[in-house]
Amino acid sequence: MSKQPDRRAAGALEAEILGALWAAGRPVTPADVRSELAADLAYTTVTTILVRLVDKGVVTRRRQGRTYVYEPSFDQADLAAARMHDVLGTGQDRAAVLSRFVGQLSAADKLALSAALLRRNRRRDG
Amino acid sequence: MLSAAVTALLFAALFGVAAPAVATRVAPRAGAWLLTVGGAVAGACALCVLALLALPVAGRSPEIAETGHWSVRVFAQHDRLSLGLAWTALAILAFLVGRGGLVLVRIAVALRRSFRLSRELGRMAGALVVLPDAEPDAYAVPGRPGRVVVTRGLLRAVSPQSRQLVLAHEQAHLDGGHHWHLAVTALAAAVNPTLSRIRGVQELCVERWADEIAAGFVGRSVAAAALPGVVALIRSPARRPAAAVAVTGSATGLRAAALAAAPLRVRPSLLLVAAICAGCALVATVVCIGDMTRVIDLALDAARGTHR
Repeated sequence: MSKQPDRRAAGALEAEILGALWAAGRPVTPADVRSELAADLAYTTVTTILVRLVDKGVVTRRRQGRTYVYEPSFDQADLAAARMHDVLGTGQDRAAVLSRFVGQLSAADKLALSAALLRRNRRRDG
Repeated sequence: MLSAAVTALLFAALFGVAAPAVATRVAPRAGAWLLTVGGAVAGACALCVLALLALPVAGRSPEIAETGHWSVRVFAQHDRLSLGLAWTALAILAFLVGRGGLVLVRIAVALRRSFRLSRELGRMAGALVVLPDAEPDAYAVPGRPGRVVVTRGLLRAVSPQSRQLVLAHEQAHLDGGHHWHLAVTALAAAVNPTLSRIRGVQELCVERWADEIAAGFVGRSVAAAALPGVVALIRSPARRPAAAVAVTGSATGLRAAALAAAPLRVRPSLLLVAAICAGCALVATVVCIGDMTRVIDLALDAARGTHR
C-alpha cells in the first residue's frame, strides 16, 4: 500500500506544498518551501508545482529582487471558507459529514477495542 | 422454514460478535472490508428473514389473497408458522426498517452536502482547502474530487512531518472511499441490532487504515511519535467534555501503539472464520426464500385449480 514520496500523485504534492506555504505565514522563496517540506523534493519539482498552484489561483507570487516569492491566495481561501460554511453549516452539521483526523469513535467500543489491541501490542513487545 | 430463519439470524449475530474481534487483529484494510461486506450481508439477511417470517400476515389474509389470487387455506397449511410470530416479525421489521431509513436519510443528506460542496468549490480550490481559522482542525470532505480541509491554525502549529502525516491521512480517507465503508456498516448496524458493535469498530479500522497509508510516507516510527501530539492539538482540552478525555486518550494511544508495533498481517484464515458466519447466514436465508417460494407457489396453484 505504501508508495514512495517521488512517485506520489501530483495532488498530494500540491497539497503538501500549499500546506508549507500556509505554515510559513509570510511570502517565501521556493528554496524556503523546499526546506519546510518533510519529503525531499527536487528544487525544480517544487517550482513546477508552485507555478501550477499560481495558475490555479490558489497561490499568488511577486518578484522580490532576482527571485519570486510565493504566498497563499488569501482572497480565494476566504471564498472557499465561505462556501464551506454555506454548504456544510457548523458544529453538529459538519461533524456528520466529515471523517476527522481524530475520528469519532463511540465510547463503549473504544474501551473494548483498546483492551483487545493493546493486549496484543504488549504481548509483542514483551 | 422456522429453523432456517433462526439459523440465519443466529449466524448474523455470530458475525456481529466475531467480526469485531477479527477486524481488530488483522491489517486494518482487510478488517474494514470484512466489516463492510460481511456487515452488508448479515444486515440484509436479517431484514430478508424477518420479511419472510412476517409474510403469513399477508399470505393468510383473505382480502390480500383476493387481489393476488392465491389460496389462503393452502398458504396457512404449508407455511408452518404461527400468525402471532408473523405479526411479531412484522413489528420488529417495521421498527428496524424505520431505524435503517433514518440512518440512510442522514447519510444521504451528509453525502449530498459534501458532494455539493466539492462541486461548488470547483477549481476555486485544489485538493487541499485551507481555512483561515486559528483553531487547529483537519478533516476529509468526500466528493468528486474529495477535498482535504485543514485550518491555518493546524498548519502553523505542527512540524513538517506531522503536516505530511495529517495530509496523507486525510487523503487516504478520500482515496480509500472510507465514507462508503462507514456508511454501509452504520446502515447494517441500524437494521440488525446484533451488529451494533461493528459500527464503532469500523470507525477505528478506517482511522487505522489511513494511519497505515500515511505512515508509508513519513515512516512508522515518525507517525507513531507524531500522532498523539496532532490529535491532542485538534482535540484541545478546552473544547473536550471532561468524561471523554480518558477514552479519547486510549483510542489515540491505540492508533499510535499500532503504528509503533509491526504492521498487522492480513491473516486470511482469521478473516475466513468471520466470513463463514456471514456466509452461513446467507445460505440459511436462501433456504428460507426457497421454502417461502414453495408455499407461495402451492397457494397460487391451488387458487388456479379452483378457478378452472
